[in-house]
Amino acid sequence: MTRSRLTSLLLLAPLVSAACKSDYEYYENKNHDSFHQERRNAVDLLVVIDNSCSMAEEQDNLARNFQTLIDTFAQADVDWQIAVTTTDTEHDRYRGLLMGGDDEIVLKTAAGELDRVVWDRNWRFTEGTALQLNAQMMRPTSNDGVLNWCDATGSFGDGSKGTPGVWNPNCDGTAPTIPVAGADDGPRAPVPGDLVITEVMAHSIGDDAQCEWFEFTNTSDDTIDLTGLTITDIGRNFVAVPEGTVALPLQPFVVGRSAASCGADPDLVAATGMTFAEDVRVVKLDTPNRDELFSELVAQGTIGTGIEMGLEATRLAFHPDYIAQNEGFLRDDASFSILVVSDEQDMSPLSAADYVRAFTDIKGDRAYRDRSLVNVSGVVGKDTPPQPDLPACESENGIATYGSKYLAVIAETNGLAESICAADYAPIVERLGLTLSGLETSFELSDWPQICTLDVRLYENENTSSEVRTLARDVDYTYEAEGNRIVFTGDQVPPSNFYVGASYELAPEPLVPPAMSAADCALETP
Amino acid sequence: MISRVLASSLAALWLGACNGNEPDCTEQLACPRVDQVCEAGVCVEKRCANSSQCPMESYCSVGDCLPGCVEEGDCYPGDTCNLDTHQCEAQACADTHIDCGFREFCNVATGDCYDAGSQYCKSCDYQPGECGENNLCLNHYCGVDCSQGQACPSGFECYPFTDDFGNIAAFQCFTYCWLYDDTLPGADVKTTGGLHPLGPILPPQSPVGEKE
Repeated sequence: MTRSRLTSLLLLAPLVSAACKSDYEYYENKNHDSFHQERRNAVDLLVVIDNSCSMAEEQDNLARNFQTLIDTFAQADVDWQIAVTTTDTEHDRYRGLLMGGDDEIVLKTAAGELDRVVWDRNWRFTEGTALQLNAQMMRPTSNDGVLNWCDATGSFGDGSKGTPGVWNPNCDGTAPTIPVAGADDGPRAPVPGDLVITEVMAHSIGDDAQCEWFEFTNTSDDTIDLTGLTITDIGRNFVAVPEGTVALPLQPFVVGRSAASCGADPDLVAATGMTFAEDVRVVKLDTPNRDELFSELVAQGTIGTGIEMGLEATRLAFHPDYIAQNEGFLRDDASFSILVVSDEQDMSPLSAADYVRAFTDIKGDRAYRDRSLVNVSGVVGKDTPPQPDLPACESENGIATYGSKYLAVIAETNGLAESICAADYAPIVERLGLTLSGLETSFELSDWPQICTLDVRLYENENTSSEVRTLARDVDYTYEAEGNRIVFTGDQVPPSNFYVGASYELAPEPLVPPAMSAADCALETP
Repeated sequence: MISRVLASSLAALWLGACNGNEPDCTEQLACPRVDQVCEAGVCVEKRCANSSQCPMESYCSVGDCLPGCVEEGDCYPGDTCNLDTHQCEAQACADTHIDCGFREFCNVATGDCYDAGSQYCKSCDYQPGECGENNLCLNHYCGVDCSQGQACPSGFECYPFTDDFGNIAAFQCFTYCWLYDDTLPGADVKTTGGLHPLGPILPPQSPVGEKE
């Protein structure tokens, strides 16, 4: 390319001279490149969580470090959105869906589980309205199905709907039939059937961190000693009921997140260790309580399928058959990043290249050239094992299989590959944040410059009249002869949507690194 | 391209500079747009500074995008740039699971993916011998024995299965074949044989949860 260009210019020069003298003829051995700093400060991040049985610690590690990711985005002024799906393509509750609205409350003691309520997005929590168990169904086995629950109609506290601390009505609106209490032989430890989860406020009208609560009812005639009772879920929730706490016979017992809990007047305050997921599938910059929502989203449990297909799960989430259920996540002006967290090889049916194409096509053809628009990163088994049947790495949480298919996709999209066996994900998450939020920091010139003639300018838009200033080499940017590119670092990086123009006279041969410094050029220039 | 530049430059020189008209640009007078270059007094729009500014399967040459390729990045994933012909062509496979499609093996010698055969995900009804020797009927689809380290095709895992006592009884090339039944939403993965509608989900023999 360089040689043919020079030939044309050499041919041109005598003709110009023959025509007439002009003050622009010497332009003919100059070159000019322009570069647009595309908008990169908006990212839609899909986290693909392996929810098979070996992944509990890794999910928790990721949840703990969510704030690091957000802090990194904040430093780069990134407008972010995050959604979560799983590597499980087998089960309908996961397949092709962005997660959200799934959670559970588990009551148990050292002797075993007493009650558990598991809900999903189909339970549909209405803002400011508790979900109540039908008073005619006050049994631990009856509160498993959504059909035995209904929206509360009675008001309490700040105008929310619910009956915390009071027996629920029947779902048909009639008053409950409250049993007559027999002799109280307590306090005693609870046995299965004594405690029934009866009401849940998972989507409060105020700040969920202050106002969420739930209620269980002591359905026995005895005072129940709750010492040793824990309230958990499959994620990070854990509340140990203080010693000596009791639940009175045939009385509801309310556990709230603050002393007021927006008027629920709880019997027990669980200021930490208890959050409830509502149907929020996309966590955004301005989502209230976003860190605890993210924690709930990535706590996908360990009951997923044993053959993991993170790539296929991602493809399905944006497949025409599923996209309607996942609306609102992808934005036209944001880059699309995928983060896979898995300790297994991907067993998706298509080739790695097919998945790269499927993901890239979401953003259109230009995303093939500009990998910052679509990329895949992974926290996976990344180290090649010495033998194919050996693990890629090992940690106190177990072993990880070599994720070669994930790694192929990551490499093709210029993503970041990190080891799932790392003890602390904070550095990983920080690097991920920088990778996802980074503006373009280097621009390759189209031809080899005579380095001392390199003139680089910054423009606010595509019109040269918007010139901000001429940039000084080795001050505002550097030139790397290896790669023939101009490079910016730190706060020198051209802002989003700005243009960079580079003019230079052509060098007869490619430059041999290192290029002459700007200071030496100044000495050479008369 | 070269001829176009020459022609436009010459035209500008003869018609622009010598007939008294003011040039579009000079050393002191920049072109109005950043992406324009001053060619002999005429502002010429430059399509590209490098190939990243060109469509796929084309490359940047002297400021213009030309069809073909000069490097891998000019071609779509899965294709490679033939530097002799400057054309993108399908990349040879090197790894079954990475490079091949569902139910295919990679022939590394030829670089071609080939169909692994209809015994994988073949429908079955738990009749003796219907899946072949050492192969089990699992959830109404045939597994294929891999207990001796036999490779499984793309999309299949050599999965351990237990007997009623929890002991590993067999290793079978296995996947959730019913996912590729075309009655399921999103099941547009190409298969090389007909698959039956969804069978019962619970397999008659239980997969061992995780191998680790």
